[in-house]
Amino acid sequence: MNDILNFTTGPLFSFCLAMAILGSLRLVIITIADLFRSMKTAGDKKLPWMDIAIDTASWLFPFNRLFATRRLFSLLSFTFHATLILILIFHQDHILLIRRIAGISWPFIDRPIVDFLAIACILCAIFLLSNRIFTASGRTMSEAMDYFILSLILVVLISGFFASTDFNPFSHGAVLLVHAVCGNLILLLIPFSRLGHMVLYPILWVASAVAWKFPSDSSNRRGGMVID
Amino acid sequence: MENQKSYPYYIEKPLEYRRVEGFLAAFEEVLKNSNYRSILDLYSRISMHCSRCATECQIYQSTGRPEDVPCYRSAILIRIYKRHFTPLGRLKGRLFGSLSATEADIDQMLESFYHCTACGRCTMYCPMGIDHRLLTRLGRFILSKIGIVPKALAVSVREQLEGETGNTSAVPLKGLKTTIEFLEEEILEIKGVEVRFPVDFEGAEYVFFPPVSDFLMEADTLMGIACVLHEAGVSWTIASGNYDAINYGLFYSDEVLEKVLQKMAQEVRRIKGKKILIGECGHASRSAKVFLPSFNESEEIPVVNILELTAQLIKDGKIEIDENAITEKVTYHDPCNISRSGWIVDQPRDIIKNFIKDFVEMTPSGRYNLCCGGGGGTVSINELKPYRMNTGGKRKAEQLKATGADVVIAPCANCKKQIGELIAHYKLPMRHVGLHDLLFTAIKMKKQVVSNE
Ligand code: SF4
Repeated sequence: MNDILNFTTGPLFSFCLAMAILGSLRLVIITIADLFRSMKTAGDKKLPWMDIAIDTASWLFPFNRLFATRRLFSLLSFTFHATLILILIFHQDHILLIRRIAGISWPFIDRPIVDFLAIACILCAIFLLSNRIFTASGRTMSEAMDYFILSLILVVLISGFFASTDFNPFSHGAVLLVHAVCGNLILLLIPFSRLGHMVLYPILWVASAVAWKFPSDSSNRRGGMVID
Repeated sequence: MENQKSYPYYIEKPLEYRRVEGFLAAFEEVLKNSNYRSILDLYSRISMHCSRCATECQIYQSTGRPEDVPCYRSAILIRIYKRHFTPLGRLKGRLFGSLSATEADIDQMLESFYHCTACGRCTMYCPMGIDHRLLTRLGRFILSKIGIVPKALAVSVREQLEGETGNTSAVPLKGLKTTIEFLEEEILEIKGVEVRFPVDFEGAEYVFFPPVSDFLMEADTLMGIACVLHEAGVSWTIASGNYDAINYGLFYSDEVLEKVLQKMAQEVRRIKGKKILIGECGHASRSAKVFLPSFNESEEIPVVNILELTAQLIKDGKIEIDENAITEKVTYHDPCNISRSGWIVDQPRDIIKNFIKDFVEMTPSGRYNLCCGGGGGTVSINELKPYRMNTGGKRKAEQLKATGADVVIAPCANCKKQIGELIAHYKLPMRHVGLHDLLFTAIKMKKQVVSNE
């Protein structure tokens, strides 16, 4: 068990992390290159940078957005994202892992607080999953991948929580292994699934604005009917 | 015309077979000749399907049908894009043979894309900033390339671009001149001042393009505008070669959008005008303001909406208004196309506060307003009227009623028509007007001399 665990949290983790970073970098570069290509043919090259910045920032820190609509959903969704990011970056064990492979570290959040964040995050994730399962609009919209990703995150959170507390009713090694395997899988999925929104987020509003910048010669570019 | 039954709106030549093939060919053509591929790629990667948009779309709020969830509608187009136009999608299709576009998809899209009023409200509530209005428009654009476009829009566009009159309501130049004479006489009779509607005045500061239907139906709006411009001594003119701001291209076609704008710019150049002045019309203002720079790279022609100009003229003290002229309780409807971006929200209110004492805001209003329920060109499609009245329109009617106002200002030709129909349908105790209709009542006229001639 120890060997498998060491492999999962060692070389496999390094590989998955590298894939996540390189894959995300590729995703961002491709997307930005696409935007440049679009702007090159666009007749109007002015972008409303101020509006774009305000929209991007207002969703990054959505304090005045939270209560605009679907208050409970919005609040819990925000809490889910915020706590997940905090745990991911400031959990002592995560920092140790990074120090082991990259030699860098930073301050961590104390255990009782991080446990509290984990519980909040788990409850929010359960709510979000239930929302997909039990509401008509959630069910209509959700695809298999949406359920899968959220369930995977939930498994990582719950196993991580048990692995790092004293209330663990299961074998510590087994729980840690589940946590590490699923965590690695999430890392791998970032560039290849909707989790990509994590890295593409800062350019979403720019991209929507660019999409309205039409090429200057739309009607000369083979217009008309395709079938007569 | 047996096939006509399966379409929710009239179509000139309904395609009876090969619709899926046609749609895919059209999609490919559009992708090849546009920049839509990058946004489709991006949206397909980041759409979280959270359905937060659903609660703010007034169509979904009214129907409760899953097909009317903005994200669901966009997802149909995105799914077809991913399956047929991305390498991974094509591979998956080959391996599993599933998820290909079907006849049912076409049926769903041709209905669903014209259920959306392209109001843009859902985008304000999407944490990923997905612009469903853009995708609705793209879906309509592709459909139009296989002939699936409401007849009402297609016929008007043909008349505007190829017809003798060159405008969407087929108003001939002779008819325009007769109307103008009538309006001038009316102003003289009501206001006691000789005010002209200049035609082809070369070198004017503003070339005025109202929605042409105003010449047929909105005399008070036009008279109000003429009085404001006359009183402030603005140099303006109507152009005899093109006096229609309507641009249905905004609703369904990049090509139509461009051609109509090019035609407008050409006319401005012909009479050596300096700026484009759009009348009380939301979509026409947005098309010209936002998209003219895309298609008219060589020279910049500024675009101004009449509400902007009037607000400025009042601010500059160029117009005097009787502040007691309007005694009724008044509310203001923000047309989506000019308010959603925040472009024209304060200006009408700046005008209103000068002469309307009993003013009540709708909830919500401004950038977050509710659509009239007839946006996106749907108001021009008569066969969609029952739908317009009972979905988005129903929410709007409730909102109007809640204000308790006697008068609703709707400074847009489309919104005016829809709100007028809503008032009749729901028997609301109010009337609808343009903002310049009220200004026509309230403006104090002093100048007797005609400014341009
Ligand atoms: S643009 Fe308006 S009508 Fe269309 S889906 Fe969004 S909110 Fe609904």
